[in-house]
Amino acid sequence: MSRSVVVVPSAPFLLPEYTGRTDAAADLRARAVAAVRDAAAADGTRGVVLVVATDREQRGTRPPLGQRVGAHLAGLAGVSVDAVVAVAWDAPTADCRALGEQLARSSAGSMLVVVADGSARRGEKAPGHLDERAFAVDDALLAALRTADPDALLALDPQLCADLLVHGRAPLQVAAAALRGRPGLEAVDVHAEDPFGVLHVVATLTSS
Amino acid sequence: MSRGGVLRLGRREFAPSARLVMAIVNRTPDSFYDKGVSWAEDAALERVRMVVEQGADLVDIGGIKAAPGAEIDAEEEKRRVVGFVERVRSEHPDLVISVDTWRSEVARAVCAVGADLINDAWGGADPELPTVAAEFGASLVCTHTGGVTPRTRPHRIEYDDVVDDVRTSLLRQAERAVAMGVERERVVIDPAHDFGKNTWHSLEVTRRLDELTSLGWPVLVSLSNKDFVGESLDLPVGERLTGTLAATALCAWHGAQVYRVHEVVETRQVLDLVSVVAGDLPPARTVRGLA
Repeated sequence: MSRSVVVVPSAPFLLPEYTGRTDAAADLRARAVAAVRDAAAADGTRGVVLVVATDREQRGTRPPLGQRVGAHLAGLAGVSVDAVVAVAWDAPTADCRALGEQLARSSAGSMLVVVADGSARRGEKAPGHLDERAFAVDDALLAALRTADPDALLALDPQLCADLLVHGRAPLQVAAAALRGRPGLEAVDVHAEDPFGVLHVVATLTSS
Repeated sequence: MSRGGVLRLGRREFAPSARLVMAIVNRTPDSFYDKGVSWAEDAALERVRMVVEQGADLVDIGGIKAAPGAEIDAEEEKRRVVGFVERVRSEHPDLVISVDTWRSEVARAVCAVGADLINDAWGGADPELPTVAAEFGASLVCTHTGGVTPRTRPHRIEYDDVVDDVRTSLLRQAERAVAMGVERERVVIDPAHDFGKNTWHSLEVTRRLDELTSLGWPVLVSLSNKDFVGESLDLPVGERLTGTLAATALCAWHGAQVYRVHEVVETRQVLDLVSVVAGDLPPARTVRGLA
């Protein structure tokens, strides 16, 4: 029985094909990999279920970036991906909730790796330029993780999150629905950073 | 894109996709571009330190300017370069050192004190030069000059097909060098822009450089601030850097491996940009649109 949930970023520069001679994502990748590896070791599991969002800017036919990044990080952490749950990045909360409840039944006891980011509008140079509302929404998202509060995650507003280019709202809500009712749910570590105007999160939650 | 071959210089080995900066260090009072700036030995040593700091992969030390001028005999040439090579070798144990000379007597003296590469800029005028390179395990640049006498300017030279003449001459010299004992991966070919060539010839060689980089030998180009750049743009010496860099980019795209230059920083940037576009080198750091 796995008790852990790990949140990792879906930034493409975590993938080797997007890495320059100087690896701008080295520290973030190392932190994410360590989180997955440590949680898997603590749970005694070798496989994880990825919860990812579809791409907001889908152009080609490749699997979503979140799925590819999550699979890459899992590989580096030495765990296999047993299943992938891909939710539309802008799915209504009700759909996320249903997907999460289904996940709780189908993959009960699996370790979840949620590939999710906060807003990409956290500065003048951010991909989505600056939107001052981003900080409050990201703070709410982080507070929900720090207090391990599924209901607070499920309360995130899909439209506002979409406006703020929050790419992790839907997968976090899927995970939240899957976690509701787990006894003793608590945050082990929640790390957040935004050096490029995007909120990257590496977080580990566990239940008893 | 065509490619040269694996290149060995000193103890180092470079892939066909490498693009190397060879910084010119003149031990001359009268070279056309720098006009004696590194004539004094200390100034020349300072120039070596600077180009190494700037990212040069090798230095090319020369004691005689290419253009006609005062006769410099072998003794004077050796006085200018041998002790200097020895000092550079002592100060930079791992730096690849090339010496620009057509004389086997001078080549022997500089190889004995640590030179790694003999840049025979006058197309085998001294047929014994490969013997020296072979004896010391040194590398050798073979150049095309159309058979002109060292330190003469081309005058009313025509070729049926200049690139064909270059190719034939360079293949003959390269194979001869190997037959004389120079290691195959230590032989470099240089079409020698403006040597035995008018501007039209140098432009054609540039345009068709892929016909040389596809021969399997590493190709060196020496374009820096030369007259073909000046005549192409109607610009005097001192205003040819942009044109030089444009020609450099074209040769880089065609797969040349070594670039003999005055300006290291600018050349390094151009070569790295071409290498990045060609997919031979990852970009320095990528975040835009990927965070």
